[in-house]
Amino acid sequence: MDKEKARQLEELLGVRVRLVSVSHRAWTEAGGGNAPEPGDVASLDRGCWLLVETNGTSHRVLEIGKILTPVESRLLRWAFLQRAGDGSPARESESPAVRLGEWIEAQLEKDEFHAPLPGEWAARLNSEGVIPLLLRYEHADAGQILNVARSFLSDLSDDTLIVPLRPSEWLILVTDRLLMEMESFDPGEDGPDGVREELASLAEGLQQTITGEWGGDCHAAVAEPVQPKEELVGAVALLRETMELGRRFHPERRVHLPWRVHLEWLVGNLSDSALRRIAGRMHGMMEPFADPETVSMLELFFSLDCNVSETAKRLYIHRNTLLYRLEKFKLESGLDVRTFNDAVRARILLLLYKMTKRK
Amino acid sequence: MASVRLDNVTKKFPGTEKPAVDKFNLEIKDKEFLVLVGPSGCGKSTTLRMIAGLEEISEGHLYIGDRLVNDVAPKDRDIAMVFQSYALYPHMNVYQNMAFGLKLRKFRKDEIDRRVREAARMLEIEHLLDRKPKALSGGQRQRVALGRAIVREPQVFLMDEPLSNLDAKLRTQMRANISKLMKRLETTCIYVTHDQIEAMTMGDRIVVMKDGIIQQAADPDTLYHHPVNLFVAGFIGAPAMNFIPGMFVEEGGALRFKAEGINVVMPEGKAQVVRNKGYVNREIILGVRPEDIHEEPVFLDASPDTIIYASVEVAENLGHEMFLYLAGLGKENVIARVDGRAGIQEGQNVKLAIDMNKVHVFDKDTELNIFEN
Repeated sequence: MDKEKARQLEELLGVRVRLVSVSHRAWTEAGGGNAPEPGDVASLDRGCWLLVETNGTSHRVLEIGKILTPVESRLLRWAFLQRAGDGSPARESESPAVRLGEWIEAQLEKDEFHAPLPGEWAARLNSEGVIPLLLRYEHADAGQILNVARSFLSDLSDDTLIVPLRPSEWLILVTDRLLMEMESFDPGEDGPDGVREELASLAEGLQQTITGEWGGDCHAAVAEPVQPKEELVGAVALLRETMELGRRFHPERRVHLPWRVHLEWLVGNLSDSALRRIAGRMHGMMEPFADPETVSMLELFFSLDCNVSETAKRLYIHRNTLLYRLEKFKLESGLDVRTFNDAVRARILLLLYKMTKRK
Repeated sequence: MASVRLDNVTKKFPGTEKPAVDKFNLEIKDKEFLVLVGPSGCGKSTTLRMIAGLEEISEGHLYIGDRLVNDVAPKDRDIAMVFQSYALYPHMNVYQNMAFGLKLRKFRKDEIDRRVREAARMLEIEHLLDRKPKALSGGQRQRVALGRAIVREPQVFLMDEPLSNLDAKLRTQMRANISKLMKRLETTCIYVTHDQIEAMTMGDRIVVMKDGIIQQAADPDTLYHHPVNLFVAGFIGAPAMNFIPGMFVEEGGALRFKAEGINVVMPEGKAQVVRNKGYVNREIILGVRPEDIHEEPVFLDASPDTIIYASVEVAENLGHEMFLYLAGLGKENVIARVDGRAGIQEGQNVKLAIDMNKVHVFDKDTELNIFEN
């Protein structure tokens, strides 16, 4: 259900229809059931909520500006049930995938990162490596989006497995033979950097394809190939952590890669007391990071290996202007980011600043 | 019909007070090549992303043709995007990359094949159809990205800095290719760039933006010769327009502009406007383009009332022309563009004349061009 469909429903019913999120408490207080399903209705004073999607604690509902007649209620419920069991080719094979997702979640709760795959999956995923991708996308038309993901990986679609995890979160497993499909790829020649580059392109392509079709906020993370027999749960934990770190420290990014968040992992795992102590010691030094332009400049500078010419080009400023700004930062912070040690300190301080700002 | 209309379109990001795009009003005509240009952070990419459906519109209405599309998904807007950060699908060859969007939309195979091959022919990449992206050069990848958009046969193309990742020479070549291609396809195109040269050479019409607000929307010639404010005047043109703070005074029956090292007469037509608008004896900013400062003896002889004297701090000789960085005129260097054969050296004292018929006058507080407002 997207806004366009809500608008179409608005035209059909002749009243205002909005897609909103409500808490479970608000739903039950409005008379909705305790274990609601798509198509269920809760009455309001001058209208009703029609449940579209739920994750247990919050619900996406259509807020309809009238009390539905019994016929309208039944028709809409029927339409939702049809949609729930609809012709998306994904549906038939989803039940085993759903069970795999539930098993993964259960192992993650117990921190069993090396748990061996359960019986039905052990045979299927035992033979070769898989590339794990994590997709997070809040959109009610999950079926369509997953079909896009399958089409995107279509040459190997028989070997593409989509596992639902949390609401709006899916694990996609693709055979690592996909890497061989990329022209001139030679693991011996290209090394780990080559693999990572290809994986990053794959994740970006998928993320852009989905966003380009539906808009909205879609995040993807990808890890290096794993042997699913005993590494699957660990891979999911890694991807989730990568995405959390990426969203926390680099909110402008939509594709998150484990090999780009090592420092973020270190800083992100500091205890609150350690964070407070460090923040107290470094208080004065963090002030220059309060300027968003300074932060953008530094992040770009670091991402381009501290190359002044390239950074100036990407910022569309003269090289001398960039040098002036770096000099200004040096005067304010005491850090000359053109030297290795100060660049490392500045990077860490920047991450600390982001952490302390959030807290 | 594929016009695009933005009615008071505004974008506010959560946690920020100032809108990233503020009450943007513009109508883009069918088949028009419109360029959004401005410095980093001016809101041009955000505007394009709202048109594409990749960003929600906070306020206002967006129409493509006659259709209100605020809540319409990108895939249903009949648009095609070529963005700076385009990612070619690494596991698909060029043919598959171009065909993928059509395959998603369940086009027939023969139709997909026709469109892909026709686009490949237009882009001269037919010989690359079997290759994977890793085997392509930067320029070739960019053409494949264009091809992915062309096969969609959209109502509107949206391009966000598609040439930024290319080197200067290739960028110049591709600029011309894109212009030719868009004319041939006769499709509306909205193109975002920070590069004012790209904007001036490609656009039928250019929208200059700053801080989320349209500064001026006009054809290249009007923007260059009739900028409405200081920002537009300084942004368009390379080297940038010279800005000299000073004052107009009445002296000996003529209106004179006086600043540090400068005492020149204003031609009577412009002088009358200055007087009528009450700018005599008020601080203003005079705008002079580098090419309107002359060293030719013929011009000097014909304009005795606009002579200036300066010393050349830096002389950049590009062969066919020379840029002189002059000291002694106002607080900042004034740049003059002269003929490359003038033979002027650094450290030399020079006698020049300003073509006062071409100057602009900006209100010091509002920064508006008093001749254009």
